[in-house]
Amino acid sequence: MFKNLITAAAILIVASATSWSEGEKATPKEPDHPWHFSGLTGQHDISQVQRGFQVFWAKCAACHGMEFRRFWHLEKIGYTEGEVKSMIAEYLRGRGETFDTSTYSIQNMPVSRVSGAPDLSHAVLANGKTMEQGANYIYSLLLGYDRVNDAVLGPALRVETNESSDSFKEMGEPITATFESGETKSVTRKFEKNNFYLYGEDNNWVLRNFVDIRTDFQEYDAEGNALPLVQSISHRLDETDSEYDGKYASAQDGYSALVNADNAWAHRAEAHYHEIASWAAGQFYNPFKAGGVISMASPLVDLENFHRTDFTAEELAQDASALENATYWLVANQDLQPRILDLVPSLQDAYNAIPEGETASSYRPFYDAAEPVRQLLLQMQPETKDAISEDVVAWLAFSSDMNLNARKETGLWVVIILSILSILLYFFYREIARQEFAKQAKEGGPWDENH
Amino acid sequence: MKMARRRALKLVKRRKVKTKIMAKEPKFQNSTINYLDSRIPIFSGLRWLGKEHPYPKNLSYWWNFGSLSGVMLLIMIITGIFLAMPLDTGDTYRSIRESVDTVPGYHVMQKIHMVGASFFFIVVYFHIFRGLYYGSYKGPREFVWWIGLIIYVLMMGTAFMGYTIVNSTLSVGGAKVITDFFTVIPFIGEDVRAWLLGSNGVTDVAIKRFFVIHFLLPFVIVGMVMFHLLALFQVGSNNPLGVDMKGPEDTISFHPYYTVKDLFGLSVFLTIFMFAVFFLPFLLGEPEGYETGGEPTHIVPEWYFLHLFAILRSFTQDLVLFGNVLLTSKELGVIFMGLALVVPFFLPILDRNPARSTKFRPIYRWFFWLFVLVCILLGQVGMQTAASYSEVYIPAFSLVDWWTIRLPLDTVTFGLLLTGYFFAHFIIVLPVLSRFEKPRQLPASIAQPVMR
Repeated sequence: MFKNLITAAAILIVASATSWSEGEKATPKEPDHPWHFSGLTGQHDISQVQRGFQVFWAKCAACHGMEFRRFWHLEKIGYTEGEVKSMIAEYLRGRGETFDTSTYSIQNMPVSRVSGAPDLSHAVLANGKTMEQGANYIYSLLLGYDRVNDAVLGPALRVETNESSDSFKEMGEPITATFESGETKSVTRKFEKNNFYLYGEDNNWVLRNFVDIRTDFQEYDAEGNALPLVQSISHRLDETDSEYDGKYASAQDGYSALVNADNAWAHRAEAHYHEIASWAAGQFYNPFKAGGVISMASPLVDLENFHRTDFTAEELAQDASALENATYWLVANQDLQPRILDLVPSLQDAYNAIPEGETASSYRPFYDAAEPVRQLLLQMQPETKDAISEDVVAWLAFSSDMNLNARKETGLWVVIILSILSILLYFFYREIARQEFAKQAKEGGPWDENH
Repeated sequence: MKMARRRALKLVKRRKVKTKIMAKEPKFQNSTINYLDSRIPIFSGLRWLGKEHPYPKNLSYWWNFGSLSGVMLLIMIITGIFLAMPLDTGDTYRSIRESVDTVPGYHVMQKIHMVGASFFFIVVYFHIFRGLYYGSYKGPREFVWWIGLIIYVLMMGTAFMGYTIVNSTLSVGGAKVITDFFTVIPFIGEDVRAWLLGSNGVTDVAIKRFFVIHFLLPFVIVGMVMFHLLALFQVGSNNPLGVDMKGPEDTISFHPYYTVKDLFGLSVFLTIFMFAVFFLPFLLGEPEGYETGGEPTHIVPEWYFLHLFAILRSFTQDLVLFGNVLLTSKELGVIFMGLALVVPFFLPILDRNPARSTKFRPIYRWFFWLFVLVCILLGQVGMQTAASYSEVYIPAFSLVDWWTIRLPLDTVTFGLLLTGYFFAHFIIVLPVLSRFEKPRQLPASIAQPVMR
């Protein structure tokens, strides 16, 4: 028996240690992120999930659907039935439909509005062997645009211009850029948050927003395929088109600088050349997506407002997105929430009381009402992109497995009770075995001679 | 022939004696029970099972897996019936995904059913390999073994049908692959496939049909389990020593000793099972089970089919004879996968060694464990993507990287070698060993193990 156990263990070790080398280039492994729901006792953080839902509803839902989820599931993340009902009514009004409240319990969330945008009902489960893997993947994907754009644009230009790559300098080191006008400047290159910068010696940028050049100047052939970027830009520069007047300066500078400069990042991007060459319009580079190309633009680019807490009275009064963001901060900063919510009704009253011809900032009573709200908002912690991504993924994880909290709580008790039962049964079994074998030794077991 | 006749005569005699006793004196003290039992003999049946039928007194924990399989079957049927209640067979994916969060308690049922499928196969594989190790397939238990194998094949059918009715990207892909096997049948293959699916592709028609079969087959399995037990009670249980029971000194009644032992085993099993259900329910799932439409990027069956899947994919070359393609690689794969299911049926004929238990077969013991290793490795080969077909590393000691032994084999060749051994084990190793291996001296009886 003992020998067999050792053999079996040896077999299991050999079998489980056997590994297969990957045949194809693997996509980068997304780093582990500590999730609230991971681990044996981990639970969904409901307020985080609610923050994530707000971002989902404001941004992701523009394209992505959640057709396997019902609106009333939002009651599980802290919304009241009234709030959800008004949300449904608003959503249906946007589609030109009216909301019959008797259908409340069977109102599903919207389907994807853009073809190719996957449904996010089970996004976390659909993107990893475990919930954690799926969450890590989506989290990395959301932040993946920023991390790698420095590795993208180089090679297309380098290959097009047959630039020698023997000598190159790291990003941040000064290089000499020769511009088409013949002027030479010492500049430093930097990629930051989707933008390519060339900084002059006076520390002012000479070129910004290189990514925009791409979208503004991209040309297509008759079949709709994107032409190489360098070619597109040169075409445009040869034309005289007043539409591009304002953009020429930066495009010209950037083009020349890139053509003349040796590209440090070209080397890092070498491996991705093929993906870039096959890019069509509206595709983006993201190393975490298999193949490196994704059709979704970074959803975080236009989320700058989420970084703001300094709203003017004007914005508080009129800009719906400012207020929307304010409610977002309210969830993130729970200690400040009650104080601001107290002030909101008086703010609204003051807004309604603004007479004709006056503006929010010029009308003193409104300004006075808005000032305390503004001050409180200033005290709030702005969320970073990382935090926003985490919140969104938390909501997606919740949507994928809504019963996780209850299930883990029940499971803990089930397993504890069964463990205790097993231990008790073991001693019971020992005692029964002792008695039965004593009896068996004396009387023998059942036996049918005819058998 | 003579013996069988004598046994039959004895049975007839015994029944006469029994009916006489029943008519004369009441069997049970309680008059209600007596009344019932004289009309429908449930209680005497139970008494026979629990008290009068002899069981070997030395059954180890490996014998728990039979009753555990039965319990798993019950759990699967009960949860399955509840899961079917809110199921809309016209749109199964939506129905399942929505019911999980809208029907109370459905999510627990679903997780039990989902994880339970794997655990059912885990206990059944333990049960089968226990039978292999202790020679439970040898006479007079051939029918127990054969019926058991039929149950195993039925289980695989049921599991596959259950897998397809989810109607996700993955399960539709799986259904395509499986029904594609039938196209290797000469002349009528394509037609058979169309009839199976009721269409050219996997549509609602096929899903509805698969659901019906998935609902029906478990009850067929229950029937086969009855036959499995009937055959077992006729010949009595095997035991770790593999020698027959010789008298009352070797036996013990099922109740209370084995009842409690089975209960203890069940409790330990349920602890592990419930841990998986509540804490790791998605462990054995696949991401593409949560998507609909499109082609799966990586078709991989559930783990319990992986060894068969590996055998299927091992054949990449057509069989060519005198310049004519005799069998294509696909046909070879399907044929050998089918044979892998058929060959175990011949075990009672292939292995005729007098010792049942591998305990007493020092040479076969090593081949048995080699067979276990080959089965697990076949499973691993089945798991690899086509793209990862590359070198195989077997680290001698997994913690120390530089001890890695690099096999000069790609996965296909490795799979082919493993497939080769899988069949050689049955067709060559067992018959040869059963003929030439001299087993150690068998104990005289269960009560008197060999003195050494």
